[in-house]
Amino acid sequence: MKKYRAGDFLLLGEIIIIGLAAAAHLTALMLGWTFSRCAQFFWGLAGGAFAWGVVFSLYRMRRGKRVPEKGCYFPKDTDRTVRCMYGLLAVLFLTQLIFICSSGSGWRRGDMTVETVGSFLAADGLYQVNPMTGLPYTEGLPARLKILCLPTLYGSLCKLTKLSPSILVRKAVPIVMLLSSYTAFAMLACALFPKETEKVQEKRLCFLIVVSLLLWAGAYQYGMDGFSLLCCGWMGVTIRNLVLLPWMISLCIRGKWGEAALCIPAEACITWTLYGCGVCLVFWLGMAVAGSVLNGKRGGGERKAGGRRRKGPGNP
Amino acid sequence: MTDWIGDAWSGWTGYTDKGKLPALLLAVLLFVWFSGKWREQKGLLAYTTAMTACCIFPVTAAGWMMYQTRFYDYEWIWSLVPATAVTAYGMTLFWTEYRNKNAGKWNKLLPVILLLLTALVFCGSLGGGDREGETQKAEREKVHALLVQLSDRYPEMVLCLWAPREVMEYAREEDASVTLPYGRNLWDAFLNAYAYDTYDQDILTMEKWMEHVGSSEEAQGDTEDITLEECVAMAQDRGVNCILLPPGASAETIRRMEAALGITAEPLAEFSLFITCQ
Repeated sequence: MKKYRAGDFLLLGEIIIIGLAAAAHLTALMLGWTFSRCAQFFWGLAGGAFAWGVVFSLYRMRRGKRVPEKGCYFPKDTDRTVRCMYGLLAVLFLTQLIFICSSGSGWRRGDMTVETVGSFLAADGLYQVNPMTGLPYTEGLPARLKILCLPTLYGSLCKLTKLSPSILVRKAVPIVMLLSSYTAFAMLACALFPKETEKVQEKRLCFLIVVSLLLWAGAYQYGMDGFSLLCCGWMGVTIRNLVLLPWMISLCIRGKWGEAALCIPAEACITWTLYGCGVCLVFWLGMAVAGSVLNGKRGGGERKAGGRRRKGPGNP
Repeated sequence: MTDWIGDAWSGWTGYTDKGKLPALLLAVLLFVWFSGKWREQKGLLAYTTAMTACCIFPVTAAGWMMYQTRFYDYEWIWSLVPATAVTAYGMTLFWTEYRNKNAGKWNKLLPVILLLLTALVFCGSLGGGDREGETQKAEREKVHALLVQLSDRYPEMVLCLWAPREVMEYAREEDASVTLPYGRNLWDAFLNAYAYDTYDQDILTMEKWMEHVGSSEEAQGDTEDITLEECVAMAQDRGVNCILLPPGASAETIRRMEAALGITAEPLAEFSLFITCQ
């Protein structure tokens, strides 16, 4: 099996959850189910996927293969510099966590996720009422918007956790996205600095510290990565920019083009794209073309000892 | 087409108005290309450089805005650029190289650390920027308390609420079982992208009347467009069964409202509450 890290499985799990939410959402829309039934269907699918994952992991462990095969090189080192860097990273992470928990409701302009989730729960139906008024639609809404699955996912989480839409959407989900974003950037750090040398953990930690500082520094304006993570953590564009894209880059660098392509439909399920042609597709194609042009016949990514080529779009 | 290019140009100006992180990205790209470090991550850096150029130049930026179907504004085409990742990568390469050359020499390392942090601070804001302020937080909490009191007083009633803007803006967020004749999208035009529904002139008149009540120009409940009684009848036709008048409403307005509805006003926090059917 190809080399995967624990963070890869976490992020893959999130993509699977997005996919299952999209499946439940579209099924409920087509069949006219109530939201309660849709949520039950989603949790049934999620439970089945989780059970399958457990069985698969146990099967691989019985066959003598660890899943994941190798963790990222963050050993419990006694080096003082590394410990200081871990401490600094933890402090930066905690400050961002505190900011999300203690700040107001984040960025409301142009966003009606909370009202939409609340409408699903109150009306027990998907897009039965206009979230702005609570009254039935008179003209309807765009189909491309109607198929996005995040309100269903968040509403299902509200049903499970009994949290109000406001708390779940504006506090709980951004906290999860903060963790996921750091995981994605950690995977990217491992891909950018792959050689397992003595100083590699310093480079990776330095990268993460700078990322964290850039996220703080970029919180000045709507549309910046830092602002998205700290003030709009529930939005589809935030999940795309700070979880899917960093992870996708790490997969492309490692030559895992098939897995990276999963981010494309995941984005289509959570953000408005033109027939699924979103940012992830451009990233994937751009990385493939850039890698092919600059590497010639050699594909990008890790190489096994002995120089065996890995398959990818850059390779004939 | 010229409009789109103009939007792309003004978008770039606005994007770099409040902060200069794109400038930091450009500096990092120059560093990695001229120092030869681009060879380690050729594909990523080539892609980033090409896409950065596309997002800066108006013609290509307009093209990417068209690709995004112009549903998103200019700043979102920068999602195509892995700015955070590449900036962090370049700064990491610079720092690790410099540190290796000056290992242990804190008189040389410390100024560089301070310089890099200063660059970050001046290019960004470290937590500042637009987000909900304390005023909005207080308003939200006030609306939450109002709705809790309403549901306590009338637990079986499905409310269709008509109130001043500061209540209507947060009502649906705090309690989705409350319906409104008009919502937050009346004041936030971006929200109108999510539905084809529009508001007719009656709704606009109702909103204008409600904002007029309690203002310094209020004259016994009438505006130049409509009288109090006509506006109340219009609201009732829309299904409104719960009216909150703002604290500044005149005694004459409240009296006329009571007469028009045939009920007595109740106090609710600092508002005057009218419930028309129970």
